Amino acid sequence: MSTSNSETNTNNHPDAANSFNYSGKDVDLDGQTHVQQKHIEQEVVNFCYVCFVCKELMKKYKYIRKTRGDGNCFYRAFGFGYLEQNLKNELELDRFRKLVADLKDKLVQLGYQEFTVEDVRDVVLETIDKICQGGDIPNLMKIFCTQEYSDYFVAYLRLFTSAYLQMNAEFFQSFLDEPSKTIKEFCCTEVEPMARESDNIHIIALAKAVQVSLRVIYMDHSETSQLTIHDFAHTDNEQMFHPTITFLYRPGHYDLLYEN
Amino acid sequence: MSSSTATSVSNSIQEDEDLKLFQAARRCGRRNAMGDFTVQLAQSGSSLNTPRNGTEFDLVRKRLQKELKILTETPTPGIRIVDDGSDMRKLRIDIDGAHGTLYEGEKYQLQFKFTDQYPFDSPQVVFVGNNIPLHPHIYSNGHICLSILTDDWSPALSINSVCLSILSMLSSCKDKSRPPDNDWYVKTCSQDPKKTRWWYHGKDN
Repeated sequence: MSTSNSETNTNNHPDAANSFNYSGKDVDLDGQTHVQQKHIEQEVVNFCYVCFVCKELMKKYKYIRKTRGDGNCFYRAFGFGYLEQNLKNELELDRFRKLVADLKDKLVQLGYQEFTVEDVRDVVLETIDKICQGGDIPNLMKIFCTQEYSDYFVAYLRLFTSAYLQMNAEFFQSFLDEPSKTIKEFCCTEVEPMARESDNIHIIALAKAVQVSLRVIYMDHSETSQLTIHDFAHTDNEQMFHPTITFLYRPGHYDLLYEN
Repeated sequence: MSSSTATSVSNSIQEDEDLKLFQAARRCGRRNAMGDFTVQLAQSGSSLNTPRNGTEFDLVRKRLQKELKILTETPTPGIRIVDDGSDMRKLRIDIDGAHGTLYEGEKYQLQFKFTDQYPFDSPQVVFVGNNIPLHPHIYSNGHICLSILTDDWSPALSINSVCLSILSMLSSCKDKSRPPDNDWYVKTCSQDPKKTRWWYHGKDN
């Protein structure tokens, strides 16, 4: 019925197309104004949201440290943040060094080639030693800005994540977006290659593998009345939750936040 | 009647494939140009920003020395180093087609090239010599379509694991043939297979 109506309309006004074209400019202007207005409104909403988040963040956090945006930001921020917090904490660094050393055997059990894993591990241990010897933040900065050391560290944190996922494959299988993928395939394509970005599943696994509690504050419009905070505890005792490292997440990128 | 329908269907699929290949090559052309540019930028950037203190080169050399040592001392059957290790950035390796596969009894040669960023950057790997295996993922110029050689490379892989992946790719092959777009690819591709934007399909590659 509606189709036949529109047909009659066109038939009744043979110059309908022309008149539409003529007035088209005006309609377009209106349309453009409308689109622009919507755009401005959206920007105001975004701006208000950013202002709101900034205000909330500034209540609790004093500084932000920006990390390189190369797809490794989560791991690099984790490595730097963790070592920065524990520069003077020998006990904690010894624990971490032992985890680093032991991961090799776990990876070999999972079928990795011993010497490639060993290669990465040795450089990471060397890096930790250098950081301990220096003992201060400028030295840590220098080491983390040296591409090779920094990249080896990232690579090994990726292996920590991968090994934990594989050793708990049954649990993590249901988290995968593509259920047809096995955890092993997921690790080979989404965890181990450099520059692959990290999602919740990676964060959960790394926090548990290295036994470090993490907090992520999301700035991605998911909530507008309060900050979206996700805590990743390394134990199941959540009453005592205190994050070692806090990240600020903006879509596709992680930076470090420092509490007041 | 039904057979003619089938032909027309298969024709349309071929046209579709053709179009896809064409578009992919165009994409690939642009990507290639971008790729070169990024490499140049990265090189000039790194020489400007980070003073070369030799750590990088040392780590690459140390890693390669270790890999070569293991390859010579505990070789995997069917994988042999040809070079004497004088030029560590370039290496040739002979591989033998596995028993009980379509490639049994055949010998092939692979060439590996490594950059300063190895093992973070994947090695460049191509088949060289007169005998290039006939395989749906290997082009007649020696280029190989294998995801661990670009997208899915990780520093936990090695020369040996690349050779094993290539051998397993050959072993699982059921039909010895060139890739459908072989002629065109060989005419239009860059010398460096890492500059090709590959699409990977299936678990085999």
